[in-house]
Amino acid sequence: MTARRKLLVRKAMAHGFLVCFLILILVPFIMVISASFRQGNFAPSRLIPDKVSLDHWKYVFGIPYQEVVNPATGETRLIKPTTPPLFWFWNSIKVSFLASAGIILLSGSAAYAFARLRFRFRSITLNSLLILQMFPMVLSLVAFYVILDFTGQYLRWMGLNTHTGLIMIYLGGISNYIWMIKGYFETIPPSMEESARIDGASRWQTFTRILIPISLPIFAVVFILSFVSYISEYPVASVVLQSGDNWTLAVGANSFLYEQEKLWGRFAALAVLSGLPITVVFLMCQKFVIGGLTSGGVKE
Amino acid sequence: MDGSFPIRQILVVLVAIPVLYLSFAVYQTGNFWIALSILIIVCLGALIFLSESGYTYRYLFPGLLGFGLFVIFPIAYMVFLSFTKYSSKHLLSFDRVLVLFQQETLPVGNVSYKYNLLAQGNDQYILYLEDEKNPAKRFASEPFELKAGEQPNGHQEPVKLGALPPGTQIKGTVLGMAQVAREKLFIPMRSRQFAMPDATLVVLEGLQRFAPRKRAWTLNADGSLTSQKDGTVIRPDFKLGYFVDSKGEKAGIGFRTFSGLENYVGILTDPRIQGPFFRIFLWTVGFSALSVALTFSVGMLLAVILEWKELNFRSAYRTLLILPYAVPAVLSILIFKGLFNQEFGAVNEFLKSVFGFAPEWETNPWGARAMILLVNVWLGYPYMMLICTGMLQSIPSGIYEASAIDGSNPVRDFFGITLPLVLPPLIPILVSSFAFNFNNFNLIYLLTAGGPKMVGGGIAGETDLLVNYTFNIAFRDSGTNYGLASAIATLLFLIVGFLAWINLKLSGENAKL
Amino acid sequence: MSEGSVEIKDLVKTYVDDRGRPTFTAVKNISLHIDDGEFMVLVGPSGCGKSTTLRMVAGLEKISSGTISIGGRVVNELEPKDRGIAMVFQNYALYPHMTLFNNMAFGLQLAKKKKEFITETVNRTSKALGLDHMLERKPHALSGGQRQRVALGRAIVRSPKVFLFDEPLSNLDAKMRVQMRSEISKLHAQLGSTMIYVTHDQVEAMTMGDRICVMRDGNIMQVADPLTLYRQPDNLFVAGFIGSPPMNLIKGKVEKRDGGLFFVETAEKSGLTFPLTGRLEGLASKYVDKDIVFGVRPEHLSDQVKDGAHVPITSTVEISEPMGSESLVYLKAGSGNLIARIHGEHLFHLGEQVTVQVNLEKVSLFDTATENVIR
Repeated sequence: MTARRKLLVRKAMAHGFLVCFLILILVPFIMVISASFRQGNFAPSRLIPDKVSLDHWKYVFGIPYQEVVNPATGETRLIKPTTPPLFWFWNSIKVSFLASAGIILLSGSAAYAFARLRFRFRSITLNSLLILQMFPMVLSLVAFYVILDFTGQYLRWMGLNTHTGLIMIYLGGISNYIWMIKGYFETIPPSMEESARIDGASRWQTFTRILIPISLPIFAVVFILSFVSYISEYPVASVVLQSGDNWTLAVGANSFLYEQEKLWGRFAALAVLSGLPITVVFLMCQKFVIGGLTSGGVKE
Repeated sequence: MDGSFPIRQILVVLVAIPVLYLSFAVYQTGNFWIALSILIIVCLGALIFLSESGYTYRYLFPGLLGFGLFVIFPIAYMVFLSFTKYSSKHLLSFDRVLVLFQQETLPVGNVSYKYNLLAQGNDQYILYLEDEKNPAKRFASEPFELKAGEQPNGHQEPVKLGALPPGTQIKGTVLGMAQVAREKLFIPMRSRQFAMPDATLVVLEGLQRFAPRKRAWTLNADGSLTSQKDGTVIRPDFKLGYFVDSKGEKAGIGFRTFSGLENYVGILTDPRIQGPFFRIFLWTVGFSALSVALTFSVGMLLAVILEWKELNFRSAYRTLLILPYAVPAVLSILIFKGLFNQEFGAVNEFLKSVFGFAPEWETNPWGARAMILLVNVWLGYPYMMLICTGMLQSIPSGIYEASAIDGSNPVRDFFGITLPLVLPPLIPILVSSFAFNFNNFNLIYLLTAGGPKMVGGGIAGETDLLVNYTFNIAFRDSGTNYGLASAIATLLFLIVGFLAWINLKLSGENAKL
Repeated sequence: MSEGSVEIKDLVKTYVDDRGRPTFTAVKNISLHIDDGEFMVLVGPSGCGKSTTLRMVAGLEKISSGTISIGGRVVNELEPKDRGIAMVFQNYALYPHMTLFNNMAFGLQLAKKKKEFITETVNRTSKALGLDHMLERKPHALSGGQRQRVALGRAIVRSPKVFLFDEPLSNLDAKMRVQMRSEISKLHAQLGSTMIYVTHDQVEAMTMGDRICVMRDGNIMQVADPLTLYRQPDNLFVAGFIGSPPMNLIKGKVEKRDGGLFFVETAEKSGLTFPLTGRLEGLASKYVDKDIVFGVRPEHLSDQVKDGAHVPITSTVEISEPMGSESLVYLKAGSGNLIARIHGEHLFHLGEQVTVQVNLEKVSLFDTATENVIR
């Protein structure tokens, strides 16, 4: 009996700990949701808004509304954003999606070369890729500015303040993903590709018809991880994208929080609106991500 | 490898032609080296994709091209800059500064001329000048080219003016001032110099007249400049980055110049830089180490609890616990900025009402640091939890059964069996987490912007990481000192690169593959 | 030369690192001729070069020097698909994302054969292998044996001149292995194609091969049919490798005593001594006072006396493995153990004294220095 009681006590403690921990973790989300519905632009501080208002949501969707300027006289003015913040969300999705797709193409093909092909300087290149990537992208901003300024003179669509230019910059970050995909390729027995070769497939056909279909799990992981990181990227995007309608979510959300006047309500609405779908999609794909992250193991 | 249809060759041609054209266009605007580089890259690419021996490199080419342009080139550029004096006070190249000096002019006498611009068609114009005090003196220029909106181009030969006998008319349509403005001809015209028959130069003064001016400086054979106003001679000082006169006083604008190791020495010896630098360095190391330790501990603890098969609702717990990882970090960080707001934020409201005290998250350095660590743990534990879960799942359960027979308990199991087994494969992950946090620009920038400001540290902030400090020096400081920032960035890179190298060695054989 | 004959001449394989420097020579100049329709087994311990040789025949490894000809045509520079070969791998190498049908049809699809031809060929082959009712399944839904049959089917569909097998049965459990062995042999009888089969298991080699090529450290030790290999091994390695349990090999010298030649074991204490009479005397006459190895198989150490010269040995039982109708008995003799095969259902105990007769007619003598058999 005592063994069973001990078990129950342990279970209760575990549940208790987890529930308390979860409450602590999830409180910020509740705060933000509440702040988005709260009239005024106060810092998130309540679980339940005192005065409910849809003004911030209207702003985020680009729907004009009347705001009281002078409570005494009841004077109002029309509030309407020049760029609906919703647009920033769409920009982010577009940029991150295209950049992630590009990353998969570039790092997938390079990983194939490193995993399956032999060439001089193979290991040096591989290690250099890893080490050079350590240089923080933030500090390369001057160089990025110079490059995009230059290309913008000849190719308008690829210069400063363009999404294409930003995506190009993001495509430089292939190093870590090459390592991930290469590691995955190396767990696939080469006999499969040899068999394809005997069957008459060229290297390219082996790559596209055998290796890639089998590697979809790792491509999914790379896509999701890179997508999430591009959505949150701030410094490069804020320097490259100068006009309001080009902003990504990160830049736009931060723009609500000026030094002098922090518009928490609007920010909260935008955060909920954009954060929710991304979170939901991530959770739906979590099976893949977890599989990819937990594939390491204790060696026996 | 080739079907009967040469898809590959056609694609190569389709891509190569526009890029070659681009290279040519770049060459035409005077950027020889860049045009050459583009040409080399196109030829290399074509070679790789067309010849058989280049097969392997075809898979590498696109990825490495992007990497080379956006990772290697910036690093090389930064390292180069770190050896120069490149800041907002030393922005232009030496040649450019010299040209500026040579373009400076002084007024001559008090003659002034009315003018008319006569269009000849085909972007050609003739300038007509009439002495304001003596209308009989008239001059006309040879036809010269003016392109609408063209930016001034430095060296251009002055356009010659010839005396015009009275009564002669010049052909061409007269452009009124309004027209000149509309056609955007003012700026190009203003940058041109016109030479009178007696070699005096006249330039556009204001909008309505021309006046003779002469060059303010003449270039001497030894590279120095002599002032035409008062005869002072200034020489370029390549160490200082300025032109200086015989007394050593600076003249004109500073220019970029090689300063060798000056920036690096400055980091180590200049008290304005050295003080903050080391304090920031310590905080960066401490922050990274603590972040790794804390996220790992929390993540491991949760992973162990969730691996306990007796526990119910495990997958529900796991899904909820991953949430911080699922939400875009940029939003979470800004949310926490609001929550930790010192006067009105939820955290302090709660603490005030329940415990009666409200820590200074924003104005106190240690408060700010604590806040940063708390937020980073919130953001980082799910990743660690997932990794640890994977590790734990790969330990064969037979080990725990054997230890249970030996009479062990969960705590002993953890520290005696689990941890030693799991730590070796985890080390590369911990090291890369350390490296990630070492450069965690976003978190600091968005959460505290480095604040509170360090007293006596210039633009350094108490919570700045090395990346943030460098960034501020480059873009925010009252001098936007790219040279110094590049030096710090290079040092930073050496540190983190060293970490990556260690990580590689620790992963052992994987590196050799 | 007929269609499916394989000629390997002076074949060498040296591996190089990324920079082109040689690191390791896996195959050190071997030559082998395989007749059309023959079932040739390449057998040897790990690292002997048998798989490397097979892969060079397949075209999966580059040949460092030497030639390989299939059907009289040198194939050194040909891609695997142009050599008329098919290969069955140890881990089946099935395409996990394709159905069985597509797994088998893949090669034909790549060769752009007509759809009806593909369907007909695949159906016919799968029926013969008993797989026709699961063509829409994917490999993960199959057992090991079924997967191996699919791999076989994929090879058959190519109608190759030469079948190549790279340790195909190593991943199967014992019972499945026996079953597949006979299936492959049956296949060989049916198709009559040349088959080159690599294995490290000498039992497989002995039961399946028309001829066996024993390899070691990149060299060929002996090529012969199973019986010849068993009865007349060319060297110590083959003698000890072929046959289970292995041949007893005793180190010693030839000594002249009392007007006759004797084999004396090299031992500190009581070494074994055998008289070298008849055939053996002639062989040993050139090796007086030289080191030789005395080899005799366990079944020729028996309690029954047959015709021919015999020498008795009395010794103590150390271990006994009763197999039913006979026992494998490990006898302490001389400086080591001798393994004897003794008929009957008698249960031997540790320490029991047993007398076995050494059948001198079946003894082999080996030169210790060269390791070759003395003939």
